[in-house]
Amino acid sequence: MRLMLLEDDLILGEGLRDFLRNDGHQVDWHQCLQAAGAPSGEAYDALLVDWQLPDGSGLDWVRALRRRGDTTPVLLLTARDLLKDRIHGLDSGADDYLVKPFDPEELVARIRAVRRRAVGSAGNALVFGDVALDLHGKVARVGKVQAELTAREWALVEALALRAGRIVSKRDLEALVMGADAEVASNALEVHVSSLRRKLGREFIDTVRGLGYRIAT
Amino acid sequence: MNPVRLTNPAPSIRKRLSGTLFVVSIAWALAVSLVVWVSVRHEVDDLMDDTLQESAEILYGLLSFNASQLPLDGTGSLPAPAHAERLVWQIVSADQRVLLRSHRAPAQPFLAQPATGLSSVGDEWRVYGLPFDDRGRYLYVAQISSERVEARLETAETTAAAALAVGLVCALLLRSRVSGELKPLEALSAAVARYDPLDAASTLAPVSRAELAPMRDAIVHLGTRLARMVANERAFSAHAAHALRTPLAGMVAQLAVAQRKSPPEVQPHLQRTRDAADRLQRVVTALLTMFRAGADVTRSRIDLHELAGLLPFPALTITASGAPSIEADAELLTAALMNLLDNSLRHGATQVELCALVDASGTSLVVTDNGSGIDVAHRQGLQDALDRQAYDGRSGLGLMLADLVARAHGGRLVLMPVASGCTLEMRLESS
Repeated sequence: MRLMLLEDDLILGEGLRDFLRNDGHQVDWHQCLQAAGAPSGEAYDALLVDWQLPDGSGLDWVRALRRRGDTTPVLLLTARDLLKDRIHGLDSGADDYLVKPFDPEELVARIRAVRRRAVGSAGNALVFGDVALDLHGKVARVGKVQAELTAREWALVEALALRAGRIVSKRDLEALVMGADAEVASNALEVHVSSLRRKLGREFIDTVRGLGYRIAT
Repeated sequence: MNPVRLTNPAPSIRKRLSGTLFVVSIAWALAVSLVVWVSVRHEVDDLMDDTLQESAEILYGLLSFNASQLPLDGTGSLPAPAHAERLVWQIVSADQRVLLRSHRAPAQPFLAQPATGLSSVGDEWRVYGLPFDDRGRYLYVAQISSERVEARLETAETTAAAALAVGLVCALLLRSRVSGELKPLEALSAAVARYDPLDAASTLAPVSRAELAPMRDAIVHLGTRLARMVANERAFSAHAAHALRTPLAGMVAQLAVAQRKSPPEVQPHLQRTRDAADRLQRVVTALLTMFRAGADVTRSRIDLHELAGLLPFPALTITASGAPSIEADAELLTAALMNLLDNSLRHGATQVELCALVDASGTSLVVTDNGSGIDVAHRQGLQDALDRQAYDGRSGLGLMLADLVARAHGGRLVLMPVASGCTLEMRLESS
């Protein structure tokens, strides 16, 4: 998954970024709201936002995001543990609320949970015809046969599966899979899509000419 | 916060004043009656003596006017209609013979020796004598003494009854007035009970009696100081929470990364460091919770089985029994239990049971572990320290926090005497 982490504390931000990357996610870490800007399109799978940032309130930023109609799942990371703060945070548009300190493993589980909720799935398994994806185990199966996917291929299929039924632009897909700052060869995405079709079936990923790619629900 | 209940209720101002008014009115009526009795005794005597003298003089005038025609031969009395004679009279000769008398007057002279003016004959008669003519005859007019006693008694009784009635009426009026005057005090008490200094919208209305104004001003001043203190504490608590929790979260995250990237032989050391960080996290949570323990207790219904499952102690088997749910402040109770379970873990426990016993006045949450336990002398010392809230000495953070949380719920923490392991009872009173 591609995640945006908004955390001003150097030690925590760096630790979470490294942990999440080690877990196979693309992470863009920003220490202030100005650097984060305003995400658009299908830029991120989830946003991890600290409430209290040097140049403003992370909660106000989330509110502005929701006002713009952005439905990207948001996890609020904060030291505020009072009940009224938690209620305020969730009512302001956050999908989940995690009080510091927390175990990074719990954060990852919660990211998976908010993504599941976003696609309307109760479990970690997403099924598209013969293809079943285990989001937790990062395993793809065609029928009963496990498909051997590379990390990039898994990131690509996960990005499309979490947006199943919607067309994801090539640009968004590149950002979701490779990260915003990665130098990507012009045909890298097509190469991964082609490889996935070989492993999961030619009909699994649709190409919508001029717009992007889609997994049909 | 629960109101303080006094073992012996304070005396009622209304009852005390009413009692005093009743006693004063009775005493006043008795005093007035006594004074009237003493003063009336002389006044009635004087009045009746004057009346006796005047009657004698009038009678003298009437009798002496026709003295020549009076039958002064000692044969009887002048004719008179039947009546209760209050005044009697005699005309006595110089040789002490009764010459003429009223029909109720005795046949013997009132006085053995002729005497002019007022005199008493035993306890029976009050006599006024005056010379009747120049032949040594005397006119005596007399009144029965009991008549005077009766008059005095009637006067005293009437006065006493009137005084008592006035006293009782005054007592009732004053009691009613006292009740009325106590109403502003009762209204102030009710307003103080509703007054919440921490709520900016809550105010204490002005009082309707000058004497209550200083009390009201003092309460408002106290409330303002309290609200300022709590606001400062909350602000400090929020800053402290951020300052403590964020580096701790960073430490945990960095350790988690290091754990993933480190070789297997380093893993146990990193895991122990993470366990220590977890413990530090619980301590920080406990300290922050304890800091806020003076604030309001927010009670809610807590599922005990769910709570047992949420407590983050993978090395402990935590079970729940008894009542399925209890009413308490979830955050305070969780912080207290986390510290008690941390104690259990450090004392070698592997199993902890949470048992909720509900009765009419509240809930007893009994926490039992299979750890090394506490020896009798140490337990008694700890219990004594908890009872006196002398937390600075022997009780650790866990027991102190659990006791504070229990007290915030109107109860206390009790270390139960058990043969093995450790059993603690957190008493939580109903709201």
